[in-house]
Amino acid sequence: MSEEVLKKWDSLFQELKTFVEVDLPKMEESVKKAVERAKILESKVAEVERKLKTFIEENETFKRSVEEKLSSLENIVNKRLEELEKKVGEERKAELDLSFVEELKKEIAELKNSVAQLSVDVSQIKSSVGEKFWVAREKKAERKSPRIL
Amino acid sequence: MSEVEEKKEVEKAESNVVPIGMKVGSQRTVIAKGDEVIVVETCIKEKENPITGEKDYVIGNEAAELYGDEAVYMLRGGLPGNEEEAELLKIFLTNVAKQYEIPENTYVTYGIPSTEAEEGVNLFKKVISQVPIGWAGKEVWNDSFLAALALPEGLGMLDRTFVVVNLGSSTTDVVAVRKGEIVFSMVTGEVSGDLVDRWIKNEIMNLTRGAVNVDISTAREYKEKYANLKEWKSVKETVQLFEKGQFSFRLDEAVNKPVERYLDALVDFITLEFLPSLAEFNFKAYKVILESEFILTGGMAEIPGLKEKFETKLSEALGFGVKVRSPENPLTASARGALLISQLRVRRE
Repeated sequence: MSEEVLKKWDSLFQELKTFVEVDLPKMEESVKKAVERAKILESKVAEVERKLKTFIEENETFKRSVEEKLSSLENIVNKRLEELEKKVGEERKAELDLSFVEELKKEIAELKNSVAQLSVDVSQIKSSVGEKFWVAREKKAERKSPRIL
Repeated sequence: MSEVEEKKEVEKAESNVVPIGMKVGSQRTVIAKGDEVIVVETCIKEKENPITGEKDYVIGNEAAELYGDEAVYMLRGGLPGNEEEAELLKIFLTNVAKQYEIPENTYVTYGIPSTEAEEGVNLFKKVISQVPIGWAGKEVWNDSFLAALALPEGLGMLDRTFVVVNLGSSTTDVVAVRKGEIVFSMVTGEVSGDLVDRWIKNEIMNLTRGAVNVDISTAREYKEKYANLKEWKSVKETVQLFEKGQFSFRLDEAVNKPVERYLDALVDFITLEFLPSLAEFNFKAYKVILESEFILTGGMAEIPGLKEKFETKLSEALGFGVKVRSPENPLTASARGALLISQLRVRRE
């Protein structure tokens, strides 16, 4: 009877030994890997946040440059148009088909409106991207002293 | 110098410690020194000396006025996010100390927002240890809590239970305080002053059919000048447009509509997010807090009529009368509260 108990103990110790020598290091290894992965994930999240921030900034710069370019383009077109109209009026008013100029004028006005709309859209997209970025960062804290450091 | 004389000198130096309260905000830094309150834009612009090629910095109000959107506001949510921003903050604070003659022998209490971002707090700690002020001591407190100390009760607020709603430029902090302890707090970027600036910019574009695209700092100036929920006065702005000539639009509309939108979002945040979270976390505290007063502070609380409208809208949403108070000059309240703590420390030492 006692021999049987001893055998049982022996086998249990063997199992425990295997657990300590084989399984435990494996578990340790897995925990380490999990911690490393969590760190990598954390750094990736930070990276994404950084990129989002850069994106918002770049978006702003891009929008500004597009607006500047469009504005200067509008100015150039307007100037040319004025010059053309002047020439038409002065030199060959009778010969030239003025309807062409009128059509061009209309097209430019439409273009201007679309540019304005585009500009508003870009601005709104930028705002919503910014809002989403900060909503995602919402945090809460519970039970602590108002003194931080 | 004899030992006794030396001791006397040290005692004399110690007694000359100047208490300082400082709130470093994403948009503005407020310094309280005695009766003096200094408000500086928290921005910096790096430039190069054209002769020596050395790096030079323009900071604060001068940088904002001269460079507009080119000036870098280095903080988000009141804290630096990385080493680069921390370095800019260090340069900024060092220059501010020099420019406004804050002596080294000071006891400085800083106010920062409630945050779980340890990295930001550690960077802030590193920065303040490198800035040449606060030799007699320095400490950092939750800025919303500090703002409550600027109420007439002063340090007596430590015995009270209340909710501080801190309307900052980049975040809104809602902090429930029970007898000097923060029971629960939430911070959001969904409701913030700089979002209002962007909405104003968009509103102006909408009103002018895309013809006027103001920069963010101009939008903020408009907000500070014309936002008024107490007395909605008609303010017209005129601009020359291509082919159309003179075009007028209502500036008060462009400013007050976004402020109203902001106020709705604020009430929604408190009633649909903050209070339910508090009820879930600690029902007893929730019940006590509901019966206590709300303290509205931060730069956005400076808008005339905002406190009264907030009180009405919050009471409507909750179905009972809520009491709302604001410290005098909400923008500078945190720094003045911080000064109280520094003064107390200096007196005790």
